[in-house]
Amino acid sequence: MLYGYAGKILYVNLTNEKITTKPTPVSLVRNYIGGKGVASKLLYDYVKPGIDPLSPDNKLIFATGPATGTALPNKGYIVTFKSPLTGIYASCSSGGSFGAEFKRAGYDVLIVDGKSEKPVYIWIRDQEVHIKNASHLWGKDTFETNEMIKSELGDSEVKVARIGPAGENLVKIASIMNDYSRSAARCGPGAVMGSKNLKAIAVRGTGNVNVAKPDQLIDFVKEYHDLIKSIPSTGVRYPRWGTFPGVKERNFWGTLPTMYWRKGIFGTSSTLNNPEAIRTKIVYKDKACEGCPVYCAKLSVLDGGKYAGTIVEGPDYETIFALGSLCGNEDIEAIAKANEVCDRVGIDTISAGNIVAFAMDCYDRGIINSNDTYGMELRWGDGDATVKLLEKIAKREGIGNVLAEGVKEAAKIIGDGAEAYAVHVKGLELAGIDPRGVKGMALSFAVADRGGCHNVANIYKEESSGKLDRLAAQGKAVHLKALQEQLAVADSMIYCRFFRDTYSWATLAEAISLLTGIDYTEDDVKMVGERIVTVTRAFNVREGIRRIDDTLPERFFREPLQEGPSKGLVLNKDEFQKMLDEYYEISGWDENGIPTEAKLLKLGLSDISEDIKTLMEKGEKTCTK
Amino acid sequence: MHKVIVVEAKKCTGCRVCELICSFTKEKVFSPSLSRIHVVNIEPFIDVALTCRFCEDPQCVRVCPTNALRLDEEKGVITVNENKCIGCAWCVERCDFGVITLHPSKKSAIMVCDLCRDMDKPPCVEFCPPKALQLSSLDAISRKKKVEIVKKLEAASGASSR
Repeated sequence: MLYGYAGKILYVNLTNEKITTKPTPVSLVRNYIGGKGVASKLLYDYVKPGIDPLSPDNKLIFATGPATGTALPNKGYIVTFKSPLTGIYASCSSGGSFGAEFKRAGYDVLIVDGKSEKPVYIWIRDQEVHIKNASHLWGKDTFETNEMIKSELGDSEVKVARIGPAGENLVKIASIMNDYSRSAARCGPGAVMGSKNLKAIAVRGTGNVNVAKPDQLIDFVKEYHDLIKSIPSTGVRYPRWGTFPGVKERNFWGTLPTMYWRKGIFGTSSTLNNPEAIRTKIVYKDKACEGCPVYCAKLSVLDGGKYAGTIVEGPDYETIFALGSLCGNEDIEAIAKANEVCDRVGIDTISAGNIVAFAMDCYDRGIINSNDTYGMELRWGDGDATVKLLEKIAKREGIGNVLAEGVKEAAKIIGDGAEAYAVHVKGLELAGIDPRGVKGMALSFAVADRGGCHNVANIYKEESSGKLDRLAAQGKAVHLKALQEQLAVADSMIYCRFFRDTYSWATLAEAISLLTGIDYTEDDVKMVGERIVTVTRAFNVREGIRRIDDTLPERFFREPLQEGPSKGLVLNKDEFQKMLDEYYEISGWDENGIPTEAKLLKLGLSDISEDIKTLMEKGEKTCTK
Repeated sequence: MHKVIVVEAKKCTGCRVCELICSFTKEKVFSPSLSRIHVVNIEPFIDVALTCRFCEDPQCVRVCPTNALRLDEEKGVITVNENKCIGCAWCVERCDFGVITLHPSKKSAIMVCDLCRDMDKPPCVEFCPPKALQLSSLDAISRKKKVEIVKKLEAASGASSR
């Protein structure tokens, strides 16, 4: 018996409606643990290079980890796919109960393949799996869809991962929503679901999650709960204010992205800068993902004012920055409303805020005008315009149809110099910290496997707390590499970023061993981390990613921040390239960012080594990008 | 003394740690289906954990055709004699709180909270992260309620007289 795992992989082909299961290979979990590790290796194996991400050839691979469904603090699931937004590797994680419910239904992994002729949803009730008609759900928003499916299945305990109109319309930043308001959002997983005519996945799992060493595990859980309560971030900050303090912290260093990456400071005397004031003003109650003692989520309700009736789980820091400071908007209620709209139509708030702010920036610079926007004024800080534009993006209406492609493509379509202002890495809009004021984060954004993501390695935490000198370049590559690998393991458990102050290699190894009964040493776990990072890199190399792509928007090398404590800061190209050199070298990648044969063999990745050899022999011409 | 597990609804985060810990304590696995405490989540506002109220005149005991259920007056909990239980589920049907459930794998046993009387404190209460769950005697609850309501009345009359 495989402890810590459900033991089965569920494969659903929507083209021929074939549903099969197979045992979870022991070697797969031994080498990749679960979650991100497992789903990334399967993505590498199942998705052929060069496919169109919105074609039936793409896969959505949902995976849980050994901690999922246990009382050990954890996060629900990871989904990997080839991103329609970036054309490269993508993984998203989401909390709530969906992942645990899926594991209790008896599966570790769900692979969705092909494309249905008509809108459908997948209904998993323990071992029974059905593909059901979803024509009546097509066009419904994510909240309606959730309610309708639960109601027609007659069980309020059903967990539903679903898309909204944005996913149906193949909006490149479309999200998958699960539970009431949790989302796997970055890189456009909702569009991949939409391209498959898959409206939702509904799960009810009534089984058990077994662990290898229950008695020791429960003591470990107790200690973990005590540890979480005893440290400031998970004991006080997240439970009380969620991620609200991010605004104040960024403002302190001058790294709060403002008015589409012009400035690094915003709204210092507004509610945004005061976590307790946000709580008092909008928060109704604290919420938590299943199994998590941290309750960082804040259910907010607007009782009065212009946006009365708004109910949203959030807005979290990343949403406040994207739909707030980045758009020059300091009205927390307008941000909450915009957040609710994003959840309702099913789009990623980080990318959505970036796109709205980009449009406002273009409008401000005269690159677009009211003719392009069909008469809509796009002025900084206009909350109503933001809401309108988000809805247009979801419906692909007017200029929304252009913006629905994401900042990179939209800038190309708009032309007239817009590309020079577009902020993204590999096509993914950047998350909420200005890398000009945190050097390690510049490298982190540049090499993150899914593009401009802050979470692949959130080194800014150390850089914003004084543990690392934020303006030093030296030593950052080493720190970043170790962090990336540790977080890759955490994403395979699956652990949440928010209690990362509690991880160590030793406790990760201990937890995995207690859950699975497989003895992992610290070195084993480190090697799994390195293996996962290398596999995601290999996926991207196979899609044509090279050193030239591991960079940041030109603006950040040319245009100093305009105001605040980081005023005048700009990135230096030579210094950046040096960090990149160092990162490649310690990773065992060549100067072009391709993993070397020696490194691949050392990690036991001989299959990937062969693929890369073949790719190199064919020459760079065959690359798809 | 009649004790119950009280939940402060607004504090409950819906994390289901109580269910996971309960099933673990009773069955050594993590499974809300095997939990004797039940989190009810009505999106988006309501999360409440419910468990046996240990009624003074328990209907579940009254309807049990095989006398498998019994109110243990001394411990203040419902006990189940698994040898007598036939799994007819009349008790499940009769319980107004929906907190008695049939064991999914044993064919002749029902599951109901016993406050983990053999332990110092019910683990669900001990683990509850936001401390939404408390083990309280009815005396303590009514005392607390009285103080709360009097304070509220005081505040109201104080405000109106000013």
